[in-house]
Amino acid sequence: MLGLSGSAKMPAGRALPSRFSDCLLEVGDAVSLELKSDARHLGVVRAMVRSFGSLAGFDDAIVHRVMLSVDEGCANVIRHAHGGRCDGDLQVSCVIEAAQDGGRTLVIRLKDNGKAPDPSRVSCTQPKDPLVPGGLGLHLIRDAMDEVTFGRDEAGNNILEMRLRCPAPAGAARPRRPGRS
Amino acid sequence: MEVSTRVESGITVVSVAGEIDLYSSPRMREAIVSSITRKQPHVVVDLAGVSYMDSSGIATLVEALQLARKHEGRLLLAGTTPRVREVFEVARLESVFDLFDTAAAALAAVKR
Repeated sequence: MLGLSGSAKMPAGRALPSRFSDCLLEVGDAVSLELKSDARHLGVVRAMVRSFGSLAGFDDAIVHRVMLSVDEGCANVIRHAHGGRCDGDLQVSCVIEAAQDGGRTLVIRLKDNGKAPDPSRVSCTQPKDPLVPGGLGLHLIRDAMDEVTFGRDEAGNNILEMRLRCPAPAGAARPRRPGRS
Repeated sequence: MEVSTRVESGITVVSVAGEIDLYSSPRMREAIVSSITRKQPHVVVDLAGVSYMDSSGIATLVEALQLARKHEGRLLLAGTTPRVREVFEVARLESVFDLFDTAAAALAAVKR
C-alpha cells in the first residue's frame, strides 16, 4: 500500500530555473508518503525526495546525497525495525521549516512502528572499517546531513529526523554547516 | 535493474544497469557469486549503466571481492559513474577495489 500527500506548491508566475539554484518552496511546504516496509517501494520514496529536494534548491549532487540518506534510513527500518517483514508501517515526510537565522531547512522524518533501534548502533559516529559489514548506511546519512537524530514519539513509533539547510538565495552568503571545515 | 552475464576468455563480465538498492541488489549478488563459485573466480562487474547504488550494493560488492580473493580470483569494477564513485569515496572503498573506466580495460588488466 502506498499513500501520498502533500502541500508543496509552485509560486504563482514563477518560472522553473534551469539549475534549480533557488528554493522554490516556502516554509510549511510538505509532502509525505505512507507505505509498507516493502523494499520494492524504495524507488517511489527516492522519486519523492528527488523532486522535493530539487524544488528546495539543492543541486543535483546534494539531491543525490539526500535521496541516498532517506533510502538508507528506510532500508534500515525494513531490515532492522521490521526485521525484513513487508507488512510494517513506514511514513516518510519532507517539510521546509524556518531556520533561526531566517533561512530555511529541509527536514525529513521517517516514522515506523517497528522495533526500536539498538542505541549502540545509532549512537556510533566513528568511521567504520569499510570491509566490515554493517553500519555503512548510517555513515552515509551522517555524512550527507547537517543533523541526524533518533527518537520515539508518544505513541511509541520510531522517529528518524534528518535536517539539511537549504541553499541561500543567489547573492546571499551561506552559513557554514555545523561541524564542517 | 537489469543484470546480464557473458564470458570472455574465461573471465565473467557481469553488466548491471539501473538502480541498485535493497530490493534489487540480491540479483547482482546471485550473478557474481554464482560465477565465482562455478570456478570462474575472475569477474569484471560493469557498472556503466548504473545510475544509483546504495549501501546494499556496496556491501554486495565487498562480499564478492572477499569471495573472489578466497577463490584466488579477482573482482574488478568498470564504468563507475560519478554518483556511484562518490558512494565508494564516502565509504572509503575507492582504493580497496580495482576501478577501470571500461570493461575492456578491466578485461585487459586480468589477462595481463
